[in-house]
Amino acid sequence: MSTSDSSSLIRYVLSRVVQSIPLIFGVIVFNFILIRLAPGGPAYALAGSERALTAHFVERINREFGLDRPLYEQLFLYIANILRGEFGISYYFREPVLPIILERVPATVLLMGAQFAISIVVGIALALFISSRTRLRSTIDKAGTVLSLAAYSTPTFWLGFILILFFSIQMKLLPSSGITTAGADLAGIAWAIDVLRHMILPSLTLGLTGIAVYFGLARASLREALSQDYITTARAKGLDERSILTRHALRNSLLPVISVAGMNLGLLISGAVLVETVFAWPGVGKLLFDSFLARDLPMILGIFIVVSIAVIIANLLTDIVYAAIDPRIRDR
Amino acid sequence: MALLVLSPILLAQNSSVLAQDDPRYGGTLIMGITQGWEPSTLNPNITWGAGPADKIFNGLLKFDVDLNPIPDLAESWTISEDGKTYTFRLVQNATFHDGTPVTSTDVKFSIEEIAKPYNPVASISWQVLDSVETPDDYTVVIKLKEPSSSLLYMLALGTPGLAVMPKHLYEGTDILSNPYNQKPVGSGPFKFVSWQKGNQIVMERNENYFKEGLPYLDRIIVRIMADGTTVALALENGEIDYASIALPISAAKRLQETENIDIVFGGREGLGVIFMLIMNHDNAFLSSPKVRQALAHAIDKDMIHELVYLDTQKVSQSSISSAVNWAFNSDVYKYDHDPESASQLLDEAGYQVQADGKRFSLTVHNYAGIPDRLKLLDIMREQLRDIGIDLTIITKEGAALRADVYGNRNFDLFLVFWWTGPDPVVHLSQLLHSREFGKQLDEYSNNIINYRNDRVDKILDDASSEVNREARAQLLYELQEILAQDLPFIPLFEPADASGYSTEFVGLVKGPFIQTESMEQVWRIRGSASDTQTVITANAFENDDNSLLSAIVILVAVIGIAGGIGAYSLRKRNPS
Repeated sequence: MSTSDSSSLIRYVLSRVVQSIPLIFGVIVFNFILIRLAPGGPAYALAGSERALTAHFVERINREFGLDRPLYEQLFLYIANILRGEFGISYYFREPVLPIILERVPATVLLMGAQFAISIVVGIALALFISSRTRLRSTIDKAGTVLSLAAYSTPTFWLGFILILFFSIQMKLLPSSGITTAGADLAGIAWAIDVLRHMILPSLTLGLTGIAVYFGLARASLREALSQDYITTARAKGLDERSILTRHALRNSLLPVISVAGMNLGLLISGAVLVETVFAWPGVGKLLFDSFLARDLPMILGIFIVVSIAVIIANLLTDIVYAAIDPRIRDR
Repeated sequence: MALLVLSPILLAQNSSVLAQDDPRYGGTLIMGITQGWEPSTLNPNITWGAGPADKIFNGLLKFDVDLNPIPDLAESWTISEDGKTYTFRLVQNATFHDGTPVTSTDVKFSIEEIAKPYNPVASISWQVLDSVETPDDYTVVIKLKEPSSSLLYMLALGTPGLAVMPKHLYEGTDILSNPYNQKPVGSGPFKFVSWQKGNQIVMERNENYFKEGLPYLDRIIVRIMADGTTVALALENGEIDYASIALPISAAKRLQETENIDIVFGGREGLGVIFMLIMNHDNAFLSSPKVRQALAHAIDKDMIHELVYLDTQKVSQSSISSAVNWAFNSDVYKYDHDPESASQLLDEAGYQVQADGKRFSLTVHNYAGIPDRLKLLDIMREQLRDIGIDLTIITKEGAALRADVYGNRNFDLFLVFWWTGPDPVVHLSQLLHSREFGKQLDEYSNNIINYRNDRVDKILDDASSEVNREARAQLLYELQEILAQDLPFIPLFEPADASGYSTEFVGLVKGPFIQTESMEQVWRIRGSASDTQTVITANAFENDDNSLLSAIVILVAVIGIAGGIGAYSLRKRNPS
């Protein structure tokens, strides 16, 4: 890469970073107001028991969290704190928000990373497999399309319950919820295996939808690539079908898959609210769900901000990769 | 001077604890709770229900199975004749888990600085507090502005009432955000080890517990699980040993047939809980006693009990729970299922059937996500339709629903669990006393139905300052008769939650205070070798560096496996 190339790349990256700052602010302001529109303040969630719900309690909580002040003042204070790097104190846990969110990130990254990898690899492999069966193409292809559509439209929480019913209850093969076996005191390899066992069902649940997405994408673009002239040329040259598929068709058809994967990469942090809740997986998605029920505004906003930043960074990375590959993009 | 002196009974034997063999030491007990029961804090004095904290803290007193106060940190106590001065002698060998002795100043601090200002439930009882004095390290004198019948009960409630907390860790800090709320230091039988939110809470044996020889278990793990069904399955699979008031009724019925599992229905009798339908008296229809009585006659409790609760609960007979046996009046008027009387009462009240076959409409507010509750309301709607009342069910998620009912008081009917024990006076006062009820709620009042009855107010006031239990029982008998006629709320059931136990453990309290059990007397029949090993708390997710590394290693492994599968599926293909 020449000097002018890399300097234009840097300029491009910088402009993208600058662009994303107002975006994050927009996310904060929009969500701040959106959450306030939800009926029922944190006092009503925090009381726990109806017996605790007295005017005294509601007033105390509202005063403590500054909810008795005008909305614009609350928003201004919140943004001022964010600029100082303070994400606020959780209403529910009464601890700083950021460490609690970051504590949940490994579990979520683990689960989402696994489903991400499974989805992409299996999705593409299936697409390749079906494309390679030229003679059976029409039947298998149709079957594949129908199955992937079915997988894509299956509600994940329902699938989760079905998998729990079958693998945990009927077969008693896999644990039904959580991330580790309670009281097992495992360490090292045994611990990793234990976590892996707990991961299988939730990542399978999530993976099935993901596989369908990447399969559909890869299959469509493979089909298009396979009908191009250069494939006919390759066949005419007498190359075997396998190298035509992997060397010629696959390379060219991966671009749309990469761009979708890039967009999804940012969501690795956000987790999957439904599946994490069904499997009691202690990740960011479940934290978000619980925080909504608890009207834990600083926590919800904190998660939104962390996720927005992750998505923006992931998009930035995808763009940079694109830009590095394709000079036309950064010149636009 | 002294009315009552109790001798120190340190290890008051619980009559429900089966003594089979000599207790064994060691073992881990794994408890399952549902997500909604995970506490927000482990400081029981600032919240409602910090379940696991009951093992970590002690109160001054606790209850035996017959609801009598027995010693905990207080080895004996006296009450002055005027009922305004309570003197407690503390045990002298109790220490907090950091080694500091438990003294009277800790008790004073816990009451005055933590429980009184911040306990959402006990605050109201503490309003009668005048002062707490500490003549010496092991004597606590609680002085009240007026006699209070409920003080001993509240102190004996254990952690929902008063947990004794270390002053030296809380003094001068913001109580609500003190870091020890998340990693509590108490004096109880178990020490806090770790809390991975959303996953588990781990506690280990307190070697220096002041009750000699206790506890027996090495460790208690509280697992936070998705829902009641998951908890039931985990119990069935042996993944957990104990599900405390967490099982769905249908699952509990099924598990009753299972070997090695005991199912108990009940466990909150000590609190005298009544599941009731409260009626907003600001509603023009519901302000008429005849309409309220008609509703009570229209609702077929027995049918709901059979269809929804599979005959596992107890149909409520009065406005005080039958479990509070000294105060319960079984002779009050009972509203049998009688649609004809109900219709007649409505006619008398002046609400005739209109041309469309209806008399009037009501709404009932309902929490989302409780299937049993919706079934119950469906049946209730049918039964009210029979007498010409059109019932609309408004279902909302927790905070939104409460903002309607408690914030704006914009509701007609609402189903609620209300305590009537161990002392009915304080709880019924909170619900029914009319003092200072304006448009907004009185500070500590829960009288959201705007009930006003001078006679009821008077009885509640008298009963509150009456220290003689017989005399109080008389007042409460009369109160229940009035309430059965005037009917500010319709008592439906005395709930009996389902708990499940592994038969491997002995000494789990199956009595009236399951919720606040300290587990100090629980032991495991088969103490296996692995259980008695030193507790290793190595859990990679507790340590940030470690966890991230492990996560990455596992991620790489998964990607590798997936990649391998992909590569294999490609290679297997026949080049054609």
